[in-house]
Amino acid sequence: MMKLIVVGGGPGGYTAAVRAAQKGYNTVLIEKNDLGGTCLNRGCIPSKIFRRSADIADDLKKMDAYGFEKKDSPAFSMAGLQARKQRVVQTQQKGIKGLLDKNKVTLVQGEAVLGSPGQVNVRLNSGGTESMAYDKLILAMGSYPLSIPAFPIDHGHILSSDDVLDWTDLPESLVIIGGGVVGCEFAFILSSLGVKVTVVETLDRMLCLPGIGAKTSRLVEVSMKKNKVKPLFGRTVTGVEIKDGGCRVELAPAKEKEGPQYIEAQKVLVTVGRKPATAGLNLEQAGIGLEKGFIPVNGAMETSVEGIFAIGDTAWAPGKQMLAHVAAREAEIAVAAIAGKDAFMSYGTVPGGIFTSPEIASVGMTLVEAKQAKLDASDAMVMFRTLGKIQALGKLDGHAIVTFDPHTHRILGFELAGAHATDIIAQAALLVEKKMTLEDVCDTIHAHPTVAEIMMEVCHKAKGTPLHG
Amino acid sequence: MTELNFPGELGYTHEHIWVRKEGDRLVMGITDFAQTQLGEVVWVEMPEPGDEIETGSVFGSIESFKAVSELFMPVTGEIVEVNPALEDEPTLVNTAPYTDGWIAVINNFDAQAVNALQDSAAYKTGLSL
Repeated sequence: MMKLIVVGGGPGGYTAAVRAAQKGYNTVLIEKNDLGGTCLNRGCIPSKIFRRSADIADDLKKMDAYGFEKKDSPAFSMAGLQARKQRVVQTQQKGIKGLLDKNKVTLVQGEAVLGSPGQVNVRLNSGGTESMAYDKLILAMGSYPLSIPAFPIDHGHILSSDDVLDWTDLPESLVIIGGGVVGCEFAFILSSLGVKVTVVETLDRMLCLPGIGAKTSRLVEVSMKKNKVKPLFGRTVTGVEIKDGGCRVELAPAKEKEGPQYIEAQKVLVTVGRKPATAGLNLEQAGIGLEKGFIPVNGAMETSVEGIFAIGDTAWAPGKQMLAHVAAREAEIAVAAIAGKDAFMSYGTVPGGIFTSPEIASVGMTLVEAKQAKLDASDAMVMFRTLGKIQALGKLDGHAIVTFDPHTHRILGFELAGAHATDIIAQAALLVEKKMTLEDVCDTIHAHPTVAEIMMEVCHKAKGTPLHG
Repeated sequence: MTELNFPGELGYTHEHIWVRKEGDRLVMGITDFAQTQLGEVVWVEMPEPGDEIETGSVFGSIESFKAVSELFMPVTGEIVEVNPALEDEPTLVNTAPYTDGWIAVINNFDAQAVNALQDSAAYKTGLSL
């Protein structure tokens, strides 16, 4: 029976282990910490638990608009949020453990180091070491928050997202360095919970990411102002001084001839990116070359060493993003390749969700990206507030943008910003992946009243047959 | 339709901004036509005092239940004041577009550029009402 070892129990690693075991391989999963990786323990899920409390806070602030009297405003406690976080995360961890058990995956708790070819040595959490043999190895160690020398994370004043997710008290004020996905999500969440937040982004707009165009960035900036977050973009943080128990954040001058500017805040959150967890595994001794710390892989997720695969945040391939659902897909590809199938990982249709307020989701190309790719493309936009459902919800902010080929009407991409955007991006992903057209959407009856009607509205607009939008 | 009001002493832009000179200050807001088109205003995004903004650039945005519209600077200048009342009561833009519903005040502007703006008759003609 084939012996397969997976290193790392995040969404990539546990998916790979379960799929491998389902194929009948003798599968071992090595994890040094809790099952679920960054996603479940320090990322997607805990931040959504925070988001949920922030949504309730937002609704409470507007309760009078929904017929509730504004009396005795309920008090919020971080301890209550943390207790809920713990319950939800532990339930999910147990779920993964149950899945591994059901599929007869052996879980080994410890730290893996690559030994001689075909051998992994594990420093067991329970003490001692164990040497294990494999025929195929899948590396899925994940990543951790990046710290940079100008303002090194000290976990006291200068924090990473891991630190914030463990907060038991809220600071009065916070400067977030980096207006990417993590920085923007925390900005909205923490502001809703009562923290005075400033976000500083070096680039000229927030969420300057693949699939997110300038109109959506502008909507995020306006929404930040509505939510009392101060957005600063095109500004660079040059240092952070810890002074009198607080932080003094230094910004490079905005204009020539001006001096540096300073922002005082109780804490600083650094969200400038993530770093692959590839150190300490003896990868290079095993013949696996690293690129900026990442493990380069081919389309089948195999590294330069035959029989050793890498997936998730530790693996690098052109065009990939560090996302849980990308890791899970890469796991499926790696296991299929190991099983001898002609499997190839494609990063062309990767939907993304950003849990700001409103939510943002995108898939495929923006108009600018399509033009950069020398495609003949147009786009069309409608506002979420044209929908009856949105008016009933009272959450007006948002727009939908479709990028399409003006001749064939093939859909190239979608950007959605608005209530439930992340829930309806699945339809958009299917349309892009299956190369469908504006007519395919317009000829499909969309249930009323739903937010998903925005898909039909924007495709009608693109086709030159607008109804409400 | 109620008769729209375009006071004679104001200057107007094609982007539906009115301006009123008050000494070295220039007060601005959106016209009666613009507020009627938008319907009930739910939020006004205002610039920050100290912002220096050029003619035609976006200085803020305005949202109603049915629409979102960018606000374009009538003349180059520096924002010195914004209307704090709009934060809690954005409908002032609907009820009193030329008085309590003002949006911002600018300074360091070119008086000639202000004089070159449309008068109420020209603005009204341009709307083809």
